[in-house]
Amino acid sequence: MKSLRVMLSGAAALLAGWFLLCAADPPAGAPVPGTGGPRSFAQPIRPDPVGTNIMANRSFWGAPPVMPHGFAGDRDGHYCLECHARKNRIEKRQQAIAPVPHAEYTQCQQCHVKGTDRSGAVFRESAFVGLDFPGKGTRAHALAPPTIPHKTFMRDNCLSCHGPAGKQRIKSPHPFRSQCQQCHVPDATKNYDRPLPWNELKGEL
Amino acid sequence: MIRSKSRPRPKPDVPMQTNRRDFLKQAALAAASSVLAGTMVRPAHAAEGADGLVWQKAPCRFCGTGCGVMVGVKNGRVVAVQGDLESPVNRGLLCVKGYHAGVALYGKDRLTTPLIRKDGKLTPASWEEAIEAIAQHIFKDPPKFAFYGSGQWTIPEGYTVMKFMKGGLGNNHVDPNARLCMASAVVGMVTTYGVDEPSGCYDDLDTADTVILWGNNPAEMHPVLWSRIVDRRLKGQKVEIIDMGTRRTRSTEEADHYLEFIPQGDLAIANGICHALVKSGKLDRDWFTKHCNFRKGGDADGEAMTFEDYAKWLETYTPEFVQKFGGLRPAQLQLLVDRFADPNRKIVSLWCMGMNQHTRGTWINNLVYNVHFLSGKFGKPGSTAFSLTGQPSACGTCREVGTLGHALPGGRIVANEEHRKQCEELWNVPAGRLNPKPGHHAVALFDALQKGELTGAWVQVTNPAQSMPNLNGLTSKLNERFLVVSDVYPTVTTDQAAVVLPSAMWVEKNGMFGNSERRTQQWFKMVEPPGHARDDVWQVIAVARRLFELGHPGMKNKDGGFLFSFKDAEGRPVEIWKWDVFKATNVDKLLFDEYRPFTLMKKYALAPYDELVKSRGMRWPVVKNPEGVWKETARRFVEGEDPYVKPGSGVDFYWGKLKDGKALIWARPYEAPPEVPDEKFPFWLCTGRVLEHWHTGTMTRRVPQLHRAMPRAYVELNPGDAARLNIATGDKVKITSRRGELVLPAWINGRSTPARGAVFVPFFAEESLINLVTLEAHCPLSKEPDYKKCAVAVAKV
Repeated sequence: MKSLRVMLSGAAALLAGWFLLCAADPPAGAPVPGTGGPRSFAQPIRPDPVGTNIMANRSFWGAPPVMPHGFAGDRDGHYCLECHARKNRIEKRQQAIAPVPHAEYTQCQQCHVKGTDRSGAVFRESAFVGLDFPGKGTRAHALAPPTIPHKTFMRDNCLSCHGPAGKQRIKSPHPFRSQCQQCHVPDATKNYDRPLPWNELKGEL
Repeated sequence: MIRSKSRPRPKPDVPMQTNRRDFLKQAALAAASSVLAGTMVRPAHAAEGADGLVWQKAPCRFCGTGCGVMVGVKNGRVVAVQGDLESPVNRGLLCVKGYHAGVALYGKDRLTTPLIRKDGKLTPASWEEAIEAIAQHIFKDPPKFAFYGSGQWTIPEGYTVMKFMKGGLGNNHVDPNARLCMASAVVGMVTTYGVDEPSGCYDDLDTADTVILWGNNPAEMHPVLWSRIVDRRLKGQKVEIIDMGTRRTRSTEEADHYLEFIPQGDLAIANGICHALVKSGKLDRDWFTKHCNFRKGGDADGEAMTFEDYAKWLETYTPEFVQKFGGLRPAQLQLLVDRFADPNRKIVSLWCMGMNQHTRGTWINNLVYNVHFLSGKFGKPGSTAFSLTGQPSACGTCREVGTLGHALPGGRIVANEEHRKQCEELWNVPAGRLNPKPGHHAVALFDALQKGELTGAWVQVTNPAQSMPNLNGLTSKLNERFLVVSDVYPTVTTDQAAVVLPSAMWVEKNGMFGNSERRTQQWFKMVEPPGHARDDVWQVIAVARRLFELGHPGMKNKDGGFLFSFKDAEGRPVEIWKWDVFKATNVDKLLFDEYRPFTLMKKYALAPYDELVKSRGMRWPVVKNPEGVWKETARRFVEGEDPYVKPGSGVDFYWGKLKDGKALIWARPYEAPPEVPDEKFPFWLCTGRVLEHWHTGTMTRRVPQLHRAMPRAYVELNPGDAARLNIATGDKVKITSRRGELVLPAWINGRSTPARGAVFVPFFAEESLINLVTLEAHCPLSKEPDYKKCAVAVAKV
């Protein structure tokens, strides 16, 4: 009887731990911590490349993610490409490092600042609620390739987010197919870059 | 993996914003009056994506680059900011501050109600009470009141204050914080080619062969322009960068050459380059003979000089002199000389606070033009001397609207009788209303407040109790005066105020800015300001109206009507001093349409409002061409680009002092700064900024991402000095000057490295007021103080 109780309590503890662990994995679309919204999960101390929350390092959908790590000196941004260049992805312990999706910009630090302070510290609290990530692209039927639910400006390299280093929920199941855009086309209603001319056409053709 | 069944949606803590009743009231008013109800109008180019997200254009809230942004609004709140692909300035790229500009609106301690100090405590009050208190104070003694404004004022905001103070009260004590950043550049241009604002434009950055930085750090301060230059290298273009500075920064990392110079040595270096060019004969004689005269003297007038006399005058500036006073070795000086001596090399010189916040700021500005004029590297694509502006509208508002003690709108000055007459006519005020005596510049203004010679002041969109130099000397008595502050957050200045007015911020109001390259940009209001916050323009007009009711004659126009009288298309009066009417009216357009004629005299020629609505801004002068198209000007004074250039002249400095179409090459000497390191205070102190924070941090520190990336101020030391003083990163260091002291943590070999014998401190943190330590010595011509040089002692605590 005692052993059963021990077993049950052990199982309960395991299950509780399992729930906690999953609770530590924020569902996609959860508010970004520290922006004033309700904090619903703990932050990993070191970068968590297989975490599922695409919004974890972003103030809003489309914001440049903060760096989940520091770098020596704070001055020389050339170091970024040591790991993040398209060619030089370093794979360590089964973890891939996202290559830069916009290699035509070289001044990484002008947009990506340090995000290593995970304390949630603020100077003054903010009530900002950022644009959420758009969710899945629409598809014509269950087996059709989903449309791209976001703009492609500054996201020329799909594999930066959808490749091996991508967040689990948006990882491509077929990264070995390299011509993404032959099947996945932009969704015109979500193209924030500029209003497409046919949105404004009036009258019959 | 447990999958959650529903995605939890955050419940935002929404401050008081649009409610249905207000919205209906607005809509009704808009329908009733036939004035263009521009406040909620969505222009054709605004993109509506799925699920009610609306994107509209605006210029960025922050620096003088003037990037175009698209602001995403949903359910009455800003939820995202993206770069505007259509903007020729940034082509879709932003920097970390720009991306987070929308976040800055939502700090929980936004000012939402007027506050009046009663028994030492700021207590909530109604707008009526606040307006009454201000009007009563001004009415008692109008000449002893001052207005301190800002390069972050929108164009209509600055214009409203000019009309109120100068055209109404006849009071010229209007000066902006831009006095602290751009005045030397302004007076430099006015003394060199007779009129303010650059000839060149950002397009020159795309074709320059060599870019020279004269004491500035664009990698952090104008990041998008920096990218525009540096990213050319990825396209296979060769662009050489020469970084002349007093400390190694992020900009140095991209430079081909780093030339460290002694503070104030820029005066010697510029003259040294000119001397070497003259001595070697490698000048563009045709160019400067055709387009320049020579001038000697230290003031704004000077005297004529021959080239021969100038060449002789330059003989002081030998390489040995430059090494001694400038700090460059002869080989380093020769590097610069070789560049300018190369007739095929396109060179752009860039500068900002290093040259402007300088006790001889006007002179060093003149000298950099000299170098470009002697070598003929001016007025050509890729070759120009380009003054970078710091604030988003120091050009558009302070300089073009003339919100300076001595100035009037459109390039005019109070001392000029003809200029006053023109303004009196355009403002429809009685002749003789305008005051010919220049008002106080910023340092003098705060000095007068300190001494009680001015009894009150109204501060809008700036934070002088943190940003003025020598704070103890200039701002410690503000709490004994009648200080009115219009702002969006509590600051160290509102801490001293008698009245605090909550203001609308950025896209919570209509607005217009003018950036470094003369590009005027417009935006429409996109969201409601929180609580009872109201537009700065309305605040001033409401006070003006109250003064009109109290019977102040200055608030009457020539016909006896109110100074700010406007009529709609049907000729009915639009009573914009009433908040409901103001909200339903595009007051920006009314004011801008009134202001625009002022800009023609000096050939600033701003574009019509509707053209600015349609475009991503236009660079003035904007003139209608024979085909009826409003055409902007990329390069001023250049034939084929600037419509005011005399045909056949090639380059026409049509405002040249001697009225001969020529600019002036000034013989300005090297002069040591007033305070240099000595035994008691052996270090140079330089102050400045960081990428993450704008000015005094009141907006950017309330963005959690920016705060965490740069949470506190620090002092940078050279590692050699640090070792000698036994200081390591994190150690507490006391910095002391003749004026004050401050304790800060040290940061060594971090983001930047000062030269030996120098330290650097950023000024964004209100708990670390480095301006307690700085001095108010200023350029005698521009009145701009020198924040980059004073003498301090440095010791481990």
